Parts: sequence; C-alpha cells; structure tokens
Amino acid sequence: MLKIKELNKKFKGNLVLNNLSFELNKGEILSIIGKSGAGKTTTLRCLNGLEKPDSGTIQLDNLFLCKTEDEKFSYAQKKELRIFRRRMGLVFQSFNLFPHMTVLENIIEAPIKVLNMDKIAATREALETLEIIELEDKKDAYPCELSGGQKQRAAIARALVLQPEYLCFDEPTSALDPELSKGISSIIKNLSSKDMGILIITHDMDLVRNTSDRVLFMDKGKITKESTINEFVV
Amino acid sequence: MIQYIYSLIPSIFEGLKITIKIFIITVALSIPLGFFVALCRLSTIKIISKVTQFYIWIMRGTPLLLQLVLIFFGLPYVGLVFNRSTAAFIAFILNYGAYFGEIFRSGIQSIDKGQYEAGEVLGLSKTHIFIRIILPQVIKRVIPPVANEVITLIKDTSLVYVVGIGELLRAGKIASNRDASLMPLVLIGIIYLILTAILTRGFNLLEKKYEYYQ
Ligand SMILES: Nc1ncnc2c1ncn2[C@@H]1O[C@H](COP(=O)(O)OP(=O)(O)O)[C@@H](O)[C@H]1O
Ligand SMILES: [Mg+2]
Repeated sequence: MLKIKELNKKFKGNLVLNNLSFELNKGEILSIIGKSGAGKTTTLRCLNGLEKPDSGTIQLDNLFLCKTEDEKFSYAQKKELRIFRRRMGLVFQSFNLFPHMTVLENIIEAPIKVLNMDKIAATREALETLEIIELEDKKDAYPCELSGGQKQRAAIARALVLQPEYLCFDEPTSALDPELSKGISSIIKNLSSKDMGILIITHDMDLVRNTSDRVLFMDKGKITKESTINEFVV
Repeated sequence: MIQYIYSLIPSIFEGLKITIKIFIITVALSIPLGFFVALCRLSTIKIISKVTQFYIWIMRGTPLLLQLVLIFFGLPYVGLVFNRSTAAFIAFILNYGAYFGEIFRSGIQSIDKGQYEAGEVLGLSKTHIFIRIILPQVIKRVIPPVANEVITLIKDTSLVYVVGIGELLRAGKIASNRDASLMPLVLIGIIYLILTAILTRGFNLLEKKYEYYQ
C-alpha cells in the first residue's frame, strides 16, 4: 500500500501541500481532482522524488521515501530512492519523451540501464508493452512524428516497461481530444486490473467517472472531501 | 599576370599552412576546453562558477589582439616566456575556450528540465542522463553558434601577425608591399572565402545529419 501522511511543502513561504494525507492500494484507481494551483502536480512530484517535502511521510509498504518521526524529518538515501523509483512510475503531463530517440529507444533506455537487461530482452519487453498500448507501428518513429495521443502512449509504455507497482498520471487527458480520452480510460483500467495501483490527477470529470474507484477533492494543498465513485456519480 | 600569380604561390602556401595549423589546433583544443568551461560555469560549487565567470568576462571583454600581445610581450615581465607560436596558441585557445564555453553553457541550459526529470523518474543516474539524454540534444542545438565561432576563428588567425608569425594575410601583405600591387591581397581574400565556404558547407552537412528529429 502507498501511504502519504501529513505531507507539507512550502514554495517561498507559500504553503502548497498542507498536511496532505491519503492512501492508495494496489489494483485501485484513485483520482485527485482540484482547481489549478491546488497542489496536485506538486503531490505527484513529491511521490516520485522530484520534489522534497518539508515534512511528512511517504511510504510504500515498508519502504520509506521520507518520514517524520518524533518531529524529525528524514529523506531516503540514494539507494532507497532508487528502489522507490523502481516501484513507482510517473507519466508527465507534457510526456517528456526524449526527442532524439525513437519510441523504441525511449522505452528500452531504462530497462537496459536500470534493470540491467540486455538489448534483445529489453526490446522484446518493449515490443510487448507497445502491443498492449497499441503503438507497435510507431516503434521506429521519433516523438516529433507522433500525435498527442501517440506521444502519451509512448510515455506510458516507457513507464510500464519497468513494471512499476504504482503509476501516476498528471492530467492524462489534458492534451487529448475527447475521442482519445476514452482510449486512455481503457488503458488505465486495464493496468489496474493487473494489480497496479493508479493515481490520476485531473480535472476531467469524465475520466474520473470512467476509471476511478475513489475520488479525492483537493484544495489549497489538502484533501477536503473523499468519495467513492458511486457517490461521485450522483 | 598568370605568371605573377604563380610566382606568389609558394609564399602564400607557406602562410596558408600556418593559418590552417593555428586554426586546427585552436579548434581541437578550445572545444574540449569550452566544454569544461561550461561545466565549471554551471557548477553548484560557487567558487568554481565565479572564477569561471571571471575568466569568461576577461576573455570576452577584451580584444583577442590585446590578449595576444599581453601574453607574448607582457608575460615575460613576470617570468613567463613563450615562443611566438606557443603564445599564439595559448591566446587563441583561452579566448575561444571562453566563447565555446558560453555557447555550451547556454546549450545545456536550454534543455527543458523535464528531460532530466523524465530520466530521474525512470531511475537513470545523473551522469547517464547527462551523457545519453542531455548531451546529444545540446550538440544539435550548438551546431549553428559553433559554426559561427569557427568561421570567425579562421579570419581571426590573421591576428597572429602582431607577434610576428607569418600566416596567410602577412604573406599577402609582404608580397603586396614588395610588388606595389593589390593582387596578392585579392588572392588572399579569395583563399579566405574558399576556406569559409568549405567550413560553411561542412557545418551545413552536420546540421542536416541532426535533422532527423526536432
Ligand atoms: N517549483 C516551484 N516554485 C515555486 N512555486 C511553485 C513551484 N511549483 C509549484 N509552485 C506553486 O505551487 C502551487 C501548486 O502548484 P501545482 O502543484 O502545480 O498545482 P496543480 O497541479 O494543482 O495545478 C501553485 O501556486 C504553483 O505556483
Ligand atoms: Mg498541475
């Protein structure tokens, strides 16, 4: 289970995360919705080690990315951070594909380097992932040759190939037209059915309705309301 | 006329050899130096970054001609004596190293921080991210400004005449004074044009090679 407890983060005196707490189980899809500036992206960045909170605890089973104990805050060492990152994935809002690499090269870079796979094995894994995500035909394309939806799928494949236990999405439908948004919903649902825990931050209500088990409402850095998807639909 | 031009060839050729030698050695050493300068300039260790900034300021803030003169004629006063060509190489490499340093620095800084972050989230190490993800993109971006600098360099090599090195332009000037003719200088001009045309073409090809992505 992924557990976030009393997370605080200030940017230049401005409190962006305010005692933020929530939990996410494997196989569950959790959405966080909230206005722009509520601190949603910052939350994901903290969960992926891109931003250090000022205090609080982020815990994946019994592995800590950071913890506050007896009012003392400590952050993971390099090695723990690396293990944490292996279990956690992030699909950026702007995808951040590597423009000088083909889709396939984008995907196999980390398995080769991080999981020590050889190139043949990594390529095999990558092609399998591309098949799930229905992008095999673009494996040799460069990111600049892809549409928004294809870029996103390439970015998802790049995260998936490392087989994380949890995957975060930052506004996954913001760059897509409504037609494609349906596609991403089914991809996300498919992932959670394979026991992956999924965290989506968004303000797309349709996406929330179509995918999520639970919804959290975030405002000014804290969760203001929680509901199951059934309550939410009403 | 043709005969006159023929008679100039040996001395011009000698000058050309020296020009090309200065050019090649400067390019070969100032580009790696520039890379190093860029890394120092971007260092998070304040003192390294400050010292590098000072060096860049001196090198870009004063004429290369002045640097050349001071290194050859000035440094002997503090006990550092160099022969002509060493002094010329030192001045050119230090000067161009600073310019290349600034080009590489701004190239490195122009890469979106999302590229670093994407690498980090995938668990890649900082070094690996820099070498495999950032650097190739930097190289593509710095080709045009590097090309500019390199073309300026081929013309700047003529400055070494102040320390008495007989490069291309000096060979032309000597012939021009001796024969009271502008023809040698016209010839020299044509040779510079050919050299810069070759360089321009080379860099265009290099740019093309990187056009496979945006
Ligand atoms: N690196 C940063 N430096 C300063 N302020 C930041 C930084 N990142 C985010 N913020 C501020 O934190 C607040 C929350 O931002 P963010 O987490 O991106 O919100 P959301 O994703 O919900 O729109 C905003 O007011 C934003 O301006
Ligand atoms: Mg955001």
